[in-house]
Amino acid sequence: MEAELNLESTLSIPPQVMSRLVGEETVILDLASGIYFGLDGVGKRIWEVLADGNTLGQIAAVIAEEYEVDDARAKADVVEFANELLSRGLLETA
Amino acid sequence: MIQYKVMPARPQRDLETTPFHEYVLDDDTVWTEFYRAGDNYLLRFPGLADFDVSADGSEVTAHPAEGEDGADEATLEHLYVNQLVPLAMSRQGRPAFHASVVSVPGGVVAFLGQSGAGKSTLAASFALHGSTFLTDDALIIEESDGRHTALPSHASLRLWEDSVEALVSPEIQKAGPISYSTKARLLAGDALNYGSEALPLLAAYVLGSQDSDDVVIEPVNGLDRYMGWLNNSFLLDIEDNELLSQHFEWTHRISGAIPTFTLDYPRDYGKLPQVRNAVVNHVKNHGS
Repeated sequence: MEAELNLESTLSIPPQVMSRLVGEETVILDLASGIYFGLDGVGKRIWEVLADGNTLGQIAAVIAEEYEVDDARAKADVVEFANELLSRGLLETA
Repeated sequence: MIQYKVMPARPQRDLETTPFHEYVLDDDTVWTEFYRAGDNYLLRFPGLADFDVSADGSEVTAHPAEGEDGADEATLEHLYVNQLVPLAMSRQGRPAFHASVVSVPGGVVAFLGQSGAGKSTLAASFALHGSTFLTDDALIIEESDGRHTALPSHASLRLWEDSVEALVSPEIQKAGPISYSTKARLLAGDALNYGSEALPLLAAYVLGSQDSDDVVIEPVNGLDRYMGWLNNSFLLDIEDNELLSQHFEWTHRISGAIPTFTLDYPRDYGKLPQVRNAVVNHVKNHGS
C-alpha cells in the first residue's frame, strides 16, 4: 500500500540499506533482500538530497532549480520517486 | 592465512538442513551446496567432496567423497585452490574474483568472467608468449595504502581440448585430469610461464560473451562497472549482513580504483596475438 507522502514528509535511509557513488551513478544495496539498485541522473540527485534529511518539498525545490523544471512537475516527480523507493524498502518514514 | 587439512574419504551423508545457497551450472547441475554447521560452514560438491570451513574462513578441512567418483588428490587440490581458497578469503574479508591474471609491463591485468568466457585461453596465450600467468580463475586482491596487488594462485591452467590443440606444444607438461571436467590441466614450466610474485593490478577487462570481428575495448563506468566486478566475485556467505557490507565496500573500492573495461574479441585462436597486442598497448595508455 502506498504511504500517504506529502511535501512535508521526511524520509530516511534504513540502516540495512547501503549506498556508494560509483562514477556518475549511485549503487544501492538492500541488505535485507540482497538486491542491488542503481540510480543515475535525477534519481541520484534526489537520493543525495534526501540523505541530508530534507523534506520532499525541499528536495523538489532543489530539483526544480538544478534541472530547470517547473515546481509542480518537480513536486510530483519527487513524491512519485519517493513512493517507489519506499515501496522497495529503500526508504522509511522518519 | 588458511590452515588446510585433508581427511580420509567418507560417504557424503544426508544432511538435516537445507543449503542456504547453491552454485548451479548452466545445465542445471548443482555444483556447490553451501550449508551452515553451527557457526561454521560445510561446502558440498556433490559426488566429489565436502569441505568444512571455519566461521572466520581461516581453516578448511577436506573430506573426499567415498566411491569411484569421489575426488582424487588432483581434483581435491584443484577444488581447494580454485574454489575454497577464494571463498575462505572472502570470509576473511579479502576481495576475491573469478579472473585470470597475466603480467604486462609494469604489473598485471585481470580478465574477469565466468566459466567459458575465455579467461584461461587468454592466460595461456599470454603465458606461452613472453608473459606470465598468476592465476587462471581465482584473483585475490591485496589492498594496502590505496594500492591494489594481485596475488599468485596455483601454477596450473585448465584448457578445453580445442584450446590445447591450438595453443599448446607437446613439451608442456600435463597433469592428471580433474575428475569432474574434461579440461586438460597444464602445469607451469619452461614453456608455460608462471608468475609467483604478487604484482600491481593495472587494469581489469570484463570478457564479453559474444564473438566479435575485431578486438574492441571500451571503458565501463558507473553501475555497469560495479556490477562487472560484483558479478564475478566470490562470497562465501550471502546472508551475513556484516560480510555483505564489507563485500559492498570492497567492491566499491576496487571497482573505483582499478581502470575497468569490456573486452570483446574474435574467438579465433589465430587472432590471439592481435588480442594480446591490443591489451598490452591499451593498458600502457589506460592502466593505473
